[in-house]
Amino acid sequence: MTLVIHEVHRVRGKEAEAFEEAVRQYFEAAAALGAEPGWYFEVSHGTGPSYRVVTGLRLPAWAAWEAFAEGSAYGKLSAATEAVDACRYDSEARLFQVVAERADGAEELPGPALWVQRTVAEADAASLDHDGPERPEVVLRQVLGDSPPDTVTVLRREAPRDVLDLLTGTTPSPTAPSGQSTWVLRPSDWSPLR
Amino acid sequence: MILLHETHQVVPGALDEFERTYWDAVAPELDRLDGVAPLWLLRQRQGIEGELVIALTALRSGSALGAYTEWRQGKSGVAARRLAGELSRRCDRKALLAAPWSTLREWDEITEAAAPPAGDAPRIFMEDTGWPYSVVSEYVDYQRRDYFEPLQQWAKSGHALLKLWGFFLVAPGTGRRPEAVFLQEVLDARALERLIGEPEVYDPDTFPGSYMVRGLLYRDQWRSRLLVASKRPT
Repeated sequence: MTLVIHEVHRVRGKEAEAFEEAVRQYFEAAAALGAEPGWYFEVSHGTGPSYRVVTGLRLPAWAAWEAFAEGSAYGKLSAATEAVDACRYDSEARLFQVVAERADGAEELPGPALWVQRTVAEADAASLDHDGPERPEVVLRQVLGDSPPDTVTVLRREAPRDVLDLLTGTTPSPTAPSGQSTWVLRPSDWSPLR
Repeated sequence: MILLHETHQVVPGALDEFERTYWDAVAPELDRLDGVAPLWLLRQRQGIEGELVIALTALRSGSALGAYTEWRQGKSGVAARRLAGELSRRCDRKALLAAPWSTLREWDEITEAAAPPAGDAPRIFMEDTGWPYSVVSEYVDYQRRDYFEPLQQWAKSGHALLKLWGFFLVAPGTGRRPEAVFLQEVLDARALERLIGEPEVYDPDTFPGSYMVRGLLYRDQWRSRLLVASKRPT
């Protein structure tokens, strides 16, 4: 069982570089509690709000989540957390359980890759391609966080041209279920998901 | 201890059915889970957000949150999912962690907090949610120094109007940061008439004016909700 803290940060524009470094330091400090970096994405230019960063932090068990949460709020991680706070306005986080991940690695794409994040109702998750070539790299079920509850969030690696077709297409994509929300994310060069 | 905080903006007209479903089908299930205890079901029938229910559930540990999650996702959790789905327009779920100096930090405090009051008068709660712009640890310390400790002194005098049940940060990874929550019980409902009816004029040198004036160093945005505790049927 793996948990993921998925956090959307409203970053202060002048502090964007300092923010990224502060997150790296924060992730390094969290490693002592068993946490591992999951991803560091920026919302792609032209697809959403400015200076918005999406991070993922993996935790191996519920006890590790508790130690991490207490440490960030009041303990050894609070200074590193406040260093991140100093570079952002605020953040919204959700806690996920990892339902499935591709173990065979992502296929090669021509040029840089983007990550597309979609959130769908659990009832619609059956329409996801779980076993075929279009299956997402990561499937997450929401445990805590803001509405809507009982949803599934998927991350899939895509080529920029396909993403553009997806965003501007006039007909539904045969491989993408209608989502409640679609985010286009550009990985940082140190992000474990790239 | 972890406090699970679930805010349901209820479908208009469904508040009574929501409460019935919670007490009849959800709370007995929670009672059966080890390390999980339903604490309070707080409701608002009228307010800016319309019909609203906050379900507070005490969890002994992170492992208990795991057990709760597994239960909620399984067959036995169907009624809990109905509360969040069919009976709610919106449902936000977060975990709260009490500050080291706060009450409601230890599991054995739950018994007293959950005990029904002796009389028939409704229990009224005020939940304050604040969003500091200062360093979070400085804000937490300010709340201890300028609010929690004066309130404790007030309580000793026997004339307290409020009982502070706890001060919490939203557990990192489960909601907004920075965000903090006060859970307070109103001991004298007449004090609410003054609170909502009189203009806000603060004496910066005496409590509570001192708390309000100095608080602007740390935050100026918060939200207060007046909530009534739903009585568990006996």
